[in-house]
Amino acid sequence: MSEFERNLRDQLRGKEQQLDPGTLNQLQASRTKAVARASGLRLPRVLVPLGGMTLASLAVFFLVVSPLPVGKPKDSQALNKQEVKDLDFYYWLAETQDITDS
Amino acid sequence: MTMYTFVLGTGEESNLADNKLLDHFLGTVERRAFLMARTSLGNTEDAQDCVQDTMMLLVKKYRHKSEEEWRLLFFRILNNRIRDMVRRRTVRNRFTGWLSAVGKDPEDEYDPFQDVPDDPANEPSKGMERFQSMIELDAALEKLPRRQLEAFMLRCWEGLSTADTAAVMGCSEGSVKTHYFRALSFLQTQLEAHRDE
Repeated sequence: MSEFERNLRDQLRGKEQQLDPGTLNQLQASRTKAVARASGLRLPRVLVPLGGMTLASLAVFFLVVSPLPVGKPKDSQALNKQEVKDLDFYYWLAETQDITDS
Repeated sequence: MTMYTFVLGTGEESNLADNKLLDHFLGTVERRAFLMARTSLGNTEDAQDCVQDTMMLLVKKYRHKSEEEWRLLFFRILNNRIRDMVRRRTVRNRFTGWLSAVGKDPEDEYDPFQDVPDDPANEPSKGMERFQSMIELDAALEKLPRRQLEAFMLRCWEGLSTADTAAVMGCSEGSVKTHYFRALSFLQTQLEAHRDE
């Protein structure tokens, strides 16, 4: 860096120390606002474990408290077989009745 | 339950630490950013808005980045904000130029006298010299083309490397070198011309 550049830099950086209090207050207010926003934006991150635990609890609740009806299909299948047998009987009855009527 | 409290507690502590880091970082760049914006825009209020927008955007998008990356990102956002404002103003001035010329209040304009150091310990002659050179520099910077001004502010004032300046400006390192060299030559000519007068 040449001496000319160094002089310019010193001059410009010197200006930074001579800002009026009003401007400095405004800059500080902007900074405070931005940092406060950072806190607001971070809140959901804190809630991530809470959300995860809630979901896991719900999953466990549905699995344990209301289990799937495992035995039902077998029962309904048995019932269907019975119905089919009954149907066969009624077919046979109808046929035999037709023969006796004639 | 104990584990959950521990998790929450750690999160809050790290947030506080992050906020302190952010606050400290923004505190170190805010004055320079404001002066850069004011030099580019020539208006104190616009410069304040520009700095505030930059801070908000950095926090919103890049607060999770490392502290080392913040500096470059901050100046990239600032540079883009300044460009946007200059562009918007150019468009607005095309339509309302005649109106602003009529209703312009000279009191609202940036006055370089605001930057005069108010230190009674200073010798009046030295203070006057410094003041004079500051006004000359401000006047010369105002005349710089936009890209040259960007390169000058980032390279000389902020002290970024050529590569980082290129990243902030969104151009090649060769362009940065050219803009910076031209800016320095122009400033040297202008300031020497003032001193010879």
